[in-house]
Amino acid sequence: MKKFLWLILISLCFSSFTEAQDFYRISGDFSIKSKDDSSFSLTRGSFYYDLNYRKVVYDLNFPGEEKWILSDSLIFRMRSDTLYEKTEGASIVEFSIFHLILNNKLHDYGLRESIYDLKEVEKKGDMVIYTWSPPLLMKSMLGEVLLSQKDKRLYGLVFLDKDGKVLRKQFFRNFENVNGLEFPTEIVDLVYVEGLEIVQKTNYKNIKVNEAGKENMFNFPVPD
Amino acid sequence: MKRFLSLAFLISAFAVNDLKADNSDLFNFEIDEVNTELAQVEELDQYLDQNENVSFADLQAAGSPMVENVSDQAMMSPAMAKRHRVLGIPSWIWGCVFGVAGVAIVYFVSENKDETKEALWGCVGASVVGIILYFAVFAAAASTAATTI
Repeated sequence: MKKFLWLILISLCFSSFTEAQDFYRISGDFSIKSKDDSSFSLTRGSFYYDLNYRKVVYDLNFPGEEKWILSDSLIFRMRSDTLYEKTEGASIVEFSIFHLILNNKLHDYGLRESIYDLKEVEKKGDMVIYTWSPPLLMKSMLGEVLLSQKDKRLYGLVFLDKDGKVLRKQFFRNFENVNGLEFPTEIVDLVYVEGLEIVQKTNYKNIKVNEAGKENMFNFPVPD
Repeated sequence: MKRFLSLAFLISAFAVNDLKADNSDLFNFEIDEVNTELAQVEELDQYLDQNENVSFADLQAAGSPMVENVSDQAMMSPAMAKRHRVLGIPSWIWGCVFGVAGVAIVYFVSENKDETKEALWGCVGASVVGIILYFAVFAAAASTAATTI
């Protein structure tokens, strides 16, 4: 009987431990620095994301105070609680790093569950490079995506156009373990647009996982 | 013959490897170069870490060199940098060349208030120049007529 009780106690402990590994919300501070041909930009603030609400909320404090709410297909910009701009986008939340990290999909950037097919895997030095190809019907519009991993962590992404020209490169650096969740605290973006290279670096800090409270931010109301 | 086939196989294998070498080259990048490019905003970022309540307007009013060539607009994604331009043409040109119709095109296509404002300024600028030119031509014509009489 004593053995049986011990077994129940141990299994209860184990189940509470596995429950603690369920990550559902993430928040923190960020700063985005960028430069295009002649001008710079610095954007700072806090971010909030909860898997249940599926809204990425950015609360900016520099250069001005405003809120950005990214929902499934729309981006809302709010200034002083008034809608300033509404822009359409596609699957923004699904490919936000917050969604990918909480769902443990950052290592393959969610490509495994996307329309892309894995074409090739190769080992080059300390990197494993995966080549993801768009479906045949979309090859006239979309190019391949190359994904590299170092130590089984996402290291870089290269987006190509249909002719194989580089559109964008992204590098994920300085991973930190926050309560068991791996988070890249530095992301470098190199975007090639209209013959111009745009350099952007995003840094994250004060990252909190499964933080209680702040419902008003995690579930910020989206304007009609 | 066997030797020749083996050699051909080896050469082709090397050729394939050479082609694939390009893929790993795509992942070469120097963080120091990125940091050098962003040095000015890096300094501003560090300054704001120490002085959290300082706004962009405060720094601009004080004539801080840290905000020289720094946009007063938030930018979350590099794709935004050129996103709002209709057909890649600066919005003020739309307003300047096509007037109210150009402003309307920018308003409906870009759905961005800043771009619309820029188009409106282009429209107003073109109208002011038009009025000045009209009066200049009118005055010139009047003075020519007066001289003739």
